[in-house]
Amino acid sequence: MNSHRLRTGGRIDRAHPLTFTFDGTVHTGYQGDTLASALLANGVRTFTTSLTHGRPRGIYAAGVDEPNALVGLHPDPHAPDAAARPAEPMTQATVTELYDGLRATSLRGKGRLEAGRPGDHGRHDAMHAHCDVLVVGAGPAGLTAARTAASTGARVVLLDEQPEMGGSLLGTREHIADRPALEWVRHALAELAGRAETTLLTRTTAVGCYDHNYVVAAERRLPAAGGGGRLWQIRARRIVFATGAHERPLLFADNDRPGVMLAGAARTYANRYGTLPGRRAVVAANNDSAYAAALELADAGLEIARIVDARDHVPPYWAARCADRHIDVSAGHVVVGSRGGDGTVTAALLAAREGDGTASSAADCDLLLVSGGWNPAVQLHTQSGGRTRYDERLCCHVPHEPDPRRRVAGAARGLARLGDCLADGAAAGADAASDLGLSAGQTPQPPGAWEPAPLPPLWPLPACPAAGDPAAQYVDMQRDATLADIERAVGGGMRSVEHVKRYTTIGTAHDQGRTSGVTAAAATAGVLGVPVAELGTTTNRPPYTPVPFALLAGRARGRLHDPVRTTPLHAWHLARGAVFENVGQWKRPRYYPRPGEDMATAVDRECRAAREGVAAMDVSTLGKIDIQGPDAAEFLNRVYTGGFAKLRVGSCRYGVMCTADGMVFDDGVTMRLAEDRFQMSTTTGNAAAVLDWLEEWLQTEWPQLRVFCTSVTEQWAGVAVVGPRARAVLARLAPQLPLENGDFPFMAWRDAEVAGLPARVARISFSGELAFEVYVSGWDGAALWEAVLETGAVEGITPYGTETMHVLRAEKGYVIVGQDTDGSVTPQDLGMDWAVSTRKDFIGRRSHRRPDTSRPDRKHLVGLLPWDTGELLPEGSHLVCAGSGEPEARTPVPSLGHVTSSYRSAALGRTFALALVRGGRDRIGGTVHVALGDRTVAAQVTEPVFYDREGSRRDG
Amino acid sequence: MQLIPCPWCGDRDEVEFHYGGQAHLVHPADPDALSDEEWAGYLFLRDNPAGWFAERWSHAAGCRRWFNVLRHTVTHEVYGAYLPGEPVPVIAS
Amino acid sequence: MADTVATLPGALTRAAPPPEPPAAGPHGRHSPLQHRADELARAGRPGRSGVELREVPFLTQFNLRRRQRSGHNAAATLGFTPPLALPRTPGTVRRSGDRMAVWLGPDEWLIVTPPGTAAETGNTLRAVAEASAGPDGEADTVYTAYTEVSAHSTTLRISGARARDVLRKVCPIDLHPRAFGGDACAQTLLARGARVLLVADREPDGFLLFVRASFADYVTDWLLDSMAEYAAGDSPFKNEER
Repeated sequence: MNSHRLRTGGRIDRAHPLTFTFDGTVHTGYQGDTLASALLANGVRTFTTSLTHGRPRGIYAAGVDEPNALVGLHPDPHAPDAAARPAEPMTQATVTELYDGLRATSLRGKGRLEAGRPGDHGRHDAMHAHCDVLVVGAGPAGLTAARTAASTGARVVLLDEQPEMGGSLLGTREHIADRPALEWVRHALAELAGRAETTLLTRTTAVGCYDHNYVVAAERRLPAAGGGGRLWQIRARRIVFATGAHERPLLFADNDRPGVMLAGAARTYANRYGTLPGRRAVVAANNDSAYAAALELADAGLEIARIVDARDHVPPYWAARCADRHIDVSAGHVVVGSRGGDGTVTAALLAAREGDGTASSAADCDLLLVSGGWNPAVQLHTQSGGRTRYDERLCCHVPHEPDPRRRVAGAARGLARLGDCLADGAAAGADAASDLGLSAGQTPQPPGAWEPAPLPPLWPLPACPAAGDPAAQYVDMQRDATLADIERAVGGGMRSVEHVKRYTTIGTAHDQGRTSGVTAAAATAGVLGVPVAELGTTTNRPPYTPVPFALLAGRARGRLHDPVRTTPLHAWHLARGAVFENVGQWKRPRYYPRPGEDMATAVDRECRAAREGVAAMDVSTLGKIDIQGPDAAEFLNRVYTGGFAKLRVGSCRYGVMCTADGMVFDDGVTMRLAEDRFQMSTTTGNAAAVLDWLEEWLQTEWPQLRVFCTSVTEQWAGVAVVGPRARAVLARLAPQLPLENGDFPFMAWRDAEVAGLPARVARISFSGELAFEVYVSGWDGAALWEAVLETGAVEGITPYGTETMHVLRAEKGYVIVGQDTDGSVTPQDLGMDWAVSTRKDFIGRRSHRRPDTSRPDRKHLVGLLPWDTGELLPEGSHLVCAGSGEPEARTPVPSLGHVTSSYRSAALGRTFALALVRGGRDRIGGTVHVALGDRTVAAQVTEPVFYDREGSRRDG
Repeated sequence: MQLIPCPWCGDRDEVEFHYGGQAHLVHPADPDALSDEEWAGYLFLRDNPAGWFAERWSHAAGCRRWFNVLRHTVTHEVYGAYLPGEPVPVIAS
Repeated sequence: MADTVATLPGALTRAAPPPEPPAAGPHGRHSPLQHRADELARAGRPGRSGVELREVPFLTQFNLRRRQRSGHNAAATLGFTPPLALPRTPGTVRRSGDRMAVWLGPDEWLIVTPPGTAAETGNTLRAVAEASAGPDGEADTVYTAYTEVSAHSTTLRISGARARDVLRKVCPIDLHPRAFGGDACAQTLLARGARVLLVADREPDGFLLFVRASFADYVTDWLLDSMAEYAAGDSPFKNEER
């Protein structure tokens, strides 16, 4: 138990042991561990088997750059709060904070999705934030950046992906101002926490940087806090990316064995988690940082068998310290392979760098630490449009000419020394604030930290001809992609890193190339024989780390998903068991089934009521626009195809609106309320678009027109009272209102008291029947509806929904814009020339005489009567010619058009449909065939009016 | 998420706006005077530069005003907003 | 169901509610969120770290448009007692007594007066329309239009130290006191696309949300859900999680 745990040290709480299960074995760790550090402490070395090659793999890194240690987390099904525990199908053990009762399984090979696996039950939500300066990363540079920015009074957000702030300092024993660095971290954090305008976020990863400094960051909440997380959407005036750097792997044969690990990761495991990942290590390096790691590990009790430095000269400072501890250093040597036993590494094979690659010696070890230099974490910088350049001295890709709105500081721009990072962050924070006109009387001075000036790394290492089988040199361990794959890609003619990436799949797994991308680019350059700088790197795209879909969805599920609009009568509809239909964002009753009724039966009953007695419908959803001003009539004349100038006050008129290309855009009835005032109605789903359209023309084309448009949709609730007995119902509701045709003709409106409520009544019919639409204040809508139903009860009034409305209007051939039209249909195509004025200009008129719109074979709206009177044609069905004498078996059969509306009609005693048919008006009386899967159905083409062609019913 | 500068309400998220395409296209005063080809040009043909572009935007969820924005279609950099009827700003190089 | 007491923003809320107009019609009028009054009352938590949400129903609201022929701003002072000046500065409100003028656009305002005052407010607006209409056709002629929109939207008041945090979950604009002060207003999108008018209340940490009646339930659902972590006990609102 905890065979590899140090007695003291680290940021774990030994007084707080935690029990957890990994692949069925029970282990113990401590508060402050990650799953990875706890497993290493328990001596677990082989973690999983690889994706396609089935090779054993161990823990390789200590953070988000971990390629191998993928786990699934499962709630204990017997735990009392199992439902609240997170189930996480895939995460890295290196970022999984240990908790008591954690159950993890390794994801071996390709893994698989398990049906019925519990989802993520944590509460995920989102939060918007705004700040002057956002600092991403709370390592040395990020902390000084936040301090200096905050000292100016700027609103600062500092976020970091780790559970505690400090970044790299958490995993080293460095000193700042001659004191342990973490003491300084503590002071800096206390200072920041005391600033009212500073927000500190831990366990929060900035996963994307989008246009105009919009940063999306994912915060994780621990299971003990309910799990789940919060998606921060941060708009920052200035950003400092202090995102640090990731250590690079080295390429050699069998560089993927368990026991091969990044040197910096081992340093972190020792210092932060009190865990030694092995007993005896060989360190393979090309840069100075590995010496600091090796010495701290040696001080913690790890035997350092040898340091292998590819460079010819060992930095004197480090050479002296190695000598003090009797650590052998082989300069000018590289590791060319590893030996393994029982799956894990047992020896490193060493060779002279300039030799022929033949291993000159083998060094026994159970830990092979590698350090190939450092890749600045430039992902957010490049996501937001920043470029990088290859720095030949630092041997890494650094930000090139960063936009001052998004500065990069510290190791993220290639700085290696702690003191440099501290100073760089402080400068970036101060500059960001001063861009915004903010400055402090006294900017906190960055603390000092001494380190020797590093010698340049040696990278990329020249490929040794015999450095082992290229097929065993793993570039991307997640994808099991090797140097041989890159050679194959280049051999296949690929020259771009983007092509090589896609061919080899390198960098496409969960880490998106964090460890493998730059290595792959350098290897490709090596195979091509071109400089690394010339080849560049692949493009970084969000997210920086994987983001759960549950977090992206947040609370926007269920009722919160998409806006739902309801009318004042909604509670009544619900109580009456209405079946609803979505119309745009509105919930509209589709029909009101009685017990035992299906839709067809209910709609049949509702239709009969409207045609034979009286029925009522909630029409509150229609868009309503108040249009005022001396030029209101002229304006309507221009936007509607029909004339409105001569419409009298007290009357209304149906109008069709076209877009400039002459296609039908909307329709509705407009009332003239006064000489200079109208109220327009629009289709339910189109109200906002129509208001936008009106404003567009008023503001951008006709600013001289004195017209104001205001949406009043919800100001009014409306009830349509429809049917031969409608007048009798209205007479009871509005005894003062003259209702006879002479007093109140079709297409007139009157203000009146209805059911004791101030109301506006219009004689508008969308069914062909005698009908009144009654409008009252939205506050009174429910009262009006109940009064209409109560009063109409003696006439057998029946509430009806949109399905019945559709049947009634289709029987009359009234179109629904958006159902019978699709943006490619003119009023003439619909046979509505009567609604198009020839005496004035209007939007789209010129388009009606374009060659295309005046073709005789355009699609026309016609009626269809299936030969089989019970056949209900599916809407959207395609129509084809009857046997037209054309050569048989012509494939494909040209489509003549499609069915736009199709219903059963109670009044006709049969099914019927509306359709857009090529040259349709010339086909009336003829037959078309409707393709329905493996059969066709014949239908007669008719005029699109099926019921009461004379229009005798609308006056009752 | 771009920030669009409404001349009245200030910078707002682009979801509050409707995009109106190329600015400074004027509806012909007398459409009948145009040939079919010229009319089709007004209806359908638009510039599509990779670079600075004068565009119309409407603050649909805010003050409902239309205005113009000079915006770079590649970098999404916004140079500034101006009112309908005003000339395109000259970008200082 | 809790009694719906018509109240007004800010200071007036502590005064006696204005007299209710007689219930119109046999069945009475309904505010869009009347059926959720109990739920709103249960959801909040008073006190220093709490948040409270209430409907402020039946406010009288008029949309007012004024523009000079030249297109210039035509802000004016409305002849209420005391007078109410229209704000000229975008994104601001002017208050006078229990009335409020909210900037909606360069030629557009929302005039908010207590419940039951539609007739008086309408008369005042008619007077300003008639008084300012100069000779037709002159460049400085002012055109005025107004229309009642009292039932078009209802009003929610959210208040308490956590009100800003609740709004931050659903509202993308910056509500920091430096950016959104005591006389600020903004029209924006809430949650996933509900248009709202947000107005700083007179009391610090208080906001008024003018929500179109048809969106009122949806916006309320979001606010209740966002409040849950700051409120005592279980939130009355339960979203379907899956």
